[in-house]
Amino acid sequence: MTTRKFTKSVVAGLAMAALSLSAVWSAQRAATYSEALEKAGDDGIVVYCYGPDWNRRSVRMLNSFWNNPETEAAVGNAVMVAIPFYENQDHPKAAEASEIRCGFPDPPFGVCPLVVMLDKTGRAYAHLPGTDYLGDEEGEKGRENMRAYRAKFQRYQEIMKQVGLVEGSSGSSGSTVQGAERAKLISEAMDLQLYIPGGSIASMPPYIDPNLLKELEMSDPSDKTGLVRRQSHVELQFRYKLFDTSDGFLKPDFEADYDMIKKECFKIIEDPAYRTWDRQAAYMTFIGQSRRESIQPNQLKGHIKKMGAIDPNTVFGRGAAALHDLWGNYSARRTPEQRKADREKRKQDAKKKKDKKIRERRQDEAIEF
Amino acid sequence: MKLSHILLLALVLGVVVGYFAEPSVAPILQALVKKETKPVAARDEWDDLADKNRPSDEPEPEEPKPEEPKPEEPKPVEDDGFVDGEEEGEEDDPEGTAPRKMMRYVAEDDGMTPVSEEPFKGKLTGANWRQPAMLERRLASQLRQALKKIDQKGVAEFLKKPENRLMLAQWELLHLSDMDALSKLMKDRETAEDLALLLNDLPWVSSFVYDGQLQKPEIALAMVRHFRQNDPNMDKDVLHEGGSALENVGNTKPGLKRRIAAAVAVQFTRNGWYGEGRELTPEEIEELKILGNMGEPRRKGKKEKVDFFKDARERYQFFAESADQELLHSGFASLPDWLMHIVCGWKGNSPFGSATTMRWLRDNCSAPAMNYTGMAFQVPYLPLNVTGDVIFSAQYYEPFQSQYPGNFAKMTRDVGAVCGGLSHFGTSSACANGVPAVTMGEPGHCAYAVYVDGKWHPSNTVSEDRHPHWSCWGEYSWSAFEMMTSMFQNGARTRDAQMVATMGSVLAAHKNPINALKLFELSATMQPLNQPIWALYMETASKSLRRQPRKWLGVNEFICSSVAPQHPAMCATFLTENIYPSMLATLRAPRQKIAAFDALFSNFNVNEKAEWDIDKLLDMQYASLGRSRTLKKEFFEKLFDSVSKHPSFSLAVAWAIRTAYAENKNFGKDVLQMVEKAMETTTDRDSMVAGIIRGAEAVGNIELATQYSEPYIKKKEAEMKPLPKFEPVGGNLVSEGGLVTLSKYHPDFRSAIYHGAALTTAGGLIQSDGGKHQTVTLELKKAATLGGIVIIPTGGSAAGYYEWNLEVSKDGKEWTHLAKLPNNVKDPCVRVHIKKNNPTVKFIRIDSGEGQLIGINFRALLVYDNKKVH
Repeated sequence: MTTRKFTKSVVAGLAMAALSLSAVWSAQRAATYSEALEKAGDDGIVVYCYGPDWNRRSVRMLNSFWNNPETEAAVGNAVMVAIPFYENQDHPKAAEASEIRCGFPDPPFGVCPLVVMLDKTGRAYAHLPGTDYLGDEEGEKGRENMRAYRAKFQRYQEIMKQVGLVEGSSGSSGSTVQGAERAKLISEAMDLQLYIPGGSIASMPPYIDPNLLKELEMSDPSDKTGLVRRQSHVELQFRYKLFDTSDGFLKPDFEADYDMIKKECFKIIEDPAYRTWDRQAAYMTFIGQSRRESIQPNQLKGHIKKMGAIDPNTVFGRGAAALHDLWGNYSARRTPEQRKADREKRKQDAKKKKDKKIRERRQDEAIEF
Repeated sequence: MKLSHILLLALVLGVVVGYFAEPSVAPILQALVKKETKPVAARDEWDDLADKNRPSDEPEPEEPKPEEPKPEEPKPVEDDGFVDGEEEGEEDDPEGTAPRKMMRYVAEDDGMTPVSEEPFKGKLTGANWRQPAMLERRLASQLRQALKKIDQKGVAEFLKKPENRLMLAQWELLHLSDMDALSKLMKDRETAEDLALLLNDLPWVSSFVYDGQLQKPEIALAMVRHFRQNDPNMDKDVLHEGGSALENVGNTKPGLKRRIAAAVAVQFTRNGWYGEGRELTPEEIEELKILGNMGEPRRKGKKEKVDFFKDARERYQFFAESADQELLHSGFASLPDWLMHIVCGWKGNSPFGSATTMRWLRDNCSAPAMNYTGMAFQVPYLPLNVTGDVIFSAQYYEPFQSQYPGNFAKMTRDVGAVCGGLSHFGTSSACANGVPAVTMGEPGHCAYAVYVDGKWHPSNTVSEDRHPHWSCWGEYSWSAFEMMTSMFQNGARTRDAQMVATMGSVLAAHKNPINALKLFELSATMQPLNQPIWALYMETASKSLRRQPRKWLGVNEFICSSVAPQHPAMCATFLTENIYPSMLATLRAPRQKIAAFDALFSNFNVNEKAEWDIDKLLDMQYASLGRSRTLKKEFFEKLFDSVSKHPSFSLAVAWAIRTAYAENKNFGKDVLQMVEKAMETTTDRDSMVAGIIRGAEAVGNIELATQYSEPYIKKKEAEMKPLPKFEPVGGNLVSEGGLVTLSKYHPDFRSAIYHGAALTTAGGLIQSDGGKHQTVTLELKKAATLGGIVIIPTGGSAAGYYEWNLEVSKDGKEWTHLAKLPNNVKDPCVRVHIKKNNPTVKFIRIDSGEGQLIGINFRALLVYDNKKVH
């Protein structure tokens, strides 16, 4: 019994030692950002930003999270460096901090604690701020996110190698794949949503990398794959066009064209080439207008259900059930007669506005801009 | 009414009417009245009243000893029918209202050394507090005994004793309370004993009473008691053993959680943020007053619960736990109490103030204090959401609410907002992290400001016409906010002044108005920036100083010399609202008035823009001078002399030109000559010229505006790039020499010098302020048949134009729509070519309409007729 216990302890000890050794081997620490840049390999750099004179949580997380061997394991072979950001520039250690920082940019909006993941050239591909990304002070959620982003980054690098977009290569000519295959890979890289300028603070809408989009268009000039329209679709522009606005403010005499909105939205909704997020957003635009048009409650509920089913995991998909109850019932509260009266009134208003426009146009005919 | 009464009344009426009506009789009557009133002046009814009501235990106030020489009397003015010199009922200045004496309090302390609020514990028990009315009387009696002498030394001695300070704060609290409600609250023995612990704590009770405009103290105390019941650790020190892990962080004041409780309770009570984010019914308010089951959710009927203090409790818990765990910005624990009130009292009725939102902001938007000025810009500016609902509709956030339960900030960041949402996000993120910030109203816009290093830093701002949504005295202008900040920054002096005012109130409540007035005056002079105390002093003084012009002059000069240098707008507002109504009624010699007015302008020190209602002030001053042109000229001379030294106040010139020309053209010319003379010595001629042009525009004087604009046409031509080329739209340029007027001028009034240039091909500048329906009106030199109009915006393109309306008129009254300007033109100019039905007009107007809130900005507004040009 004792021997068995002893053997168990030895095995456990050896396993622990192996784990900690692997952790030591997997990551390197650098004292300054410039040293990290020198040492960085393909796994890049991971920076921890903290505020020594103003943010105690980030100071505590230095020990509980950043210096935790599990965190070292999570970053693979990346070089780790912790950078202090002093609020008080007259602080005795501020000058030293500036040497550690060595040109590393300010965190987006100055937010700490923050983990920034960078490639070996120092270009940030992911920002992980606050508890949303790092979780509690132990940082388990942070490690999960770091592992996830590291995996994404590795895949991104693989793709870049395949499509000939690594540093020093000559674009599509250096690519091992061409045409539609190359387009697919580039689109996959764009879907990874890395290198978002200003950090991955907001989750909507998806970011479009203009350089990758250019490469994508070159690989599939006639958009046979549908990936060009997928990646070049800017939801905000699409929506503003439907509502005839350039800045989001509706014109005083604006009257929505329901048929046109329906037609344009369904072009996106029914085309699987688009991202599910974009398809759902287009569906939401149509649903919103349908609600304002007082369509039959059952019809509205049906559309909300279909919208949610496109992707139940997006912000729209997760909210579909609640919206179903909210707007489905909202519409149901209007009697068929009321809805008919709504429609009539809208028609009359539209006619009045149209007549006014004609009068103004006649007046304006004498004017040339 | 008896015959004798009627005769007496007739006699009095006759004297009064005769005094004012008949110039030949007036001097005789005045002499008679003076003779009669002199003894009264030396000892008036207020003194008699004071003596009558002085309690036997109260010491006699010291006899007044004139210390300062009397100021020289101005010479009598002969030409206006008034007699100057010694006024009726005027008395000496024994208690030091003379400005020099008053200034000594401010400049040198002069024995009134500010005492900082050191820890001190009183001895009142719960039993004492259970009979609040009796306690109030007892405290008042003890305070009157403790104040030995009503002079500055006596008061300084009095204030040095912490027991007196504690009694003052306690009395003030009781004085503000609804005694019935307080009695009911204190009826519970345990509650009374527990609150007595806090109410014996001098720093706590003094901050509770004085730092955040305490209202309904009984409810605020009930809230505090409720917090204590829910947090048995409130009295434990917040800092962990070994102190903070942060490096070189300032010392934390003890009792942090007690301070948080006070700030939350005072602010939530003051704003009526009870219950569950809704307005209470009158019955519920009554219930709240009774506080029978204070702290426990009240059952209404069988189902509905009203948890009056839910929001406040959650707010307290948020800050208490955040402070406990040191999750807030390092500066929070050492914030002075008035800033603690702003932070912890952040909107309790807004979804941005919910505990869930604030926790998320604390944990995800923690940044160095100055970074909060940029935090708002995390939120995308999106007036139209994904479902096509506009931000002003209830449906804008509806599709997302189920995804962000209670977390309005995160939803706003992901979904979008406009100015209000952005500014609330910025402010809420700062407050949730313990950094003071406030939202502010601007015309058609919402901005915010963050307090860093002793200064408020505005952000997301479009105008300088700002109104912060926090005030401790109900005045919400930016100037008031800055003055309040200065006042609290001198915290110890402010607290002393507040306590002296409380002592004044004690005496006033015990029918000793004369001594109360002396204390109000002392308080006001100790802290001249405390507007409510000044208002209290003025209200009391206006009754007793009616016939003491020199006192009024002293008060005026003191206010001008102590407030105007740094806070000119507040000084001017205070004078027009609180001083002038009484002072101008008291002063009978116009030259005294002119000297009093000059005290304001000559004390301006900061070279800030005049963002206050300068016209209102000047109108009031001017109207008080009567009809004498000689006097008016003297007034203008002094005014222009001041303006020449402080050109940022050149709007006074605009007012003067407008007023003088409106009165009489020749008088206008005389005044213009005086401005010209003052311009010889000024360092900023352009500002004064801008004033003349603005004045000319206001009275529609084309010649005058053109005369002063002309030199700037060449100047602008030499300074600026030529205007971009454009296709001709008509014949001759007819806008040159016209007159521009704006519905609301841009705060940078100096741009008026380039109005004339903007009507020529040299190009100039026309800038209106922001807001809906801003108009720029051009009056042509003479009527013309229009061929076309060219508008050249600032910034090189017309991309910021939003379908503005172009209207024309023959008389400036009846307007006809001519065209709607195209939207978002990318060209460097907007060109309007009228091809047929060319109207003959004298006025052209551009109206920004309902669209954007940004102002109208042109480099040029060129109007052409339809004649052929060879």
